[in-house]
Amino acid sequence: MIRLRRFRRARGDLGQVAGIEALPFGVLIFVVGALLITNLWAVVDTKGAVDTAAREAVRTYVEAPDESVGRLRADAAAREVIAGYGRRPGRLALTVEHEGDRPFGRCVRVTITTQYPVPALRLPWIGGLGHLFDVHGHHTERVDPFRAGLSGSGVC
Amino acid sequence: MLMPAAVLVVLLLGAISVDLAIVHLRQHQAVAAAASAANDAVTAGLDQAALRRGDGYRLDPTRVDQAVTESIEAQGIAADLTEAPTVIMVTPDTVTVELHLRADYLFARSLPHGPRSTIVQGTATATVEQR
Repeated sequence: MIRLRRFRRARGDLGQVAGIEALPFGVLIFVVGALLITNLWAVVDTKGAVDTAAREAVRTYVEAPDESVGRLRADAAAREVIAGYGRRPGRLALTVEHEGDRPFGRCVRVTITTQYPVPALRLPWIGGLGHLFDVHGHHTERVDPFRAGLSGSGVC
Repeated sequence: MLMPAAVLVVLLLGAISVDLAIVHLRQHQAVAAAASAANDAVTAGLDQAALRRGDGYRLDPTRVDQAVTESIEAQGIAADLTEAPTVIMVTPDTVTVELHLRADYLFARSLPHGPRSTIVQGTATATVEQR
């Protein structure tokens, strides 16, 4: 005689593996950890971009024939660097300072500060969301004391 | 039991990556500062008397040292140098600047007997190009 066993729907938590809650939480922790490292890299990468932009801007500026042309060229050079890093050039802010507020001329030490916003959350392939803080970069150089095309003394 | 271990592993990896990022950025800064100082040194360091005598473009070691010092001070990193900058005049118109900067760890120093900081080196060479 054959007995057919009736299918009984599982009820209760019999058969569950102890500690199964560790799986979703574990996944969550690694996802959050991965996001943390991605965001950290975004800050490092942005810092590298703004530092390079500041350096290129200063080098362009100190070789310009005058201040207004220098500012335009420095701005363009910095934004080109930012675009090269795959960032949005329009978000870059740039300030030019002369040591002692001296006018553009030989021996003047020029410091350019660049600033770029870092998103609060940066996701691969999606991009950045929100605004966390601004990353600053700066570089300083002296206008060549013996360069041609400028008036003033060559003694620094 | 795996959960605390997983949390610890992720936190540890995050802390290591933060500390390494700090060192990486400091290294970047050291190289940029050395490049700026070397660039200033080969222009502001010209020996004008030698040029007027007809000896050509050559650098005055005193002026070169002064230009490097001023550049480092202007960049605000003088206090972070672990030793005086090394300035080498490779040729009469070429200067190499070597800087050693201290990079403070953020997390590693909180470990018992953990390192508090490390030293990064930045070297740059600049040569005069007369136009």
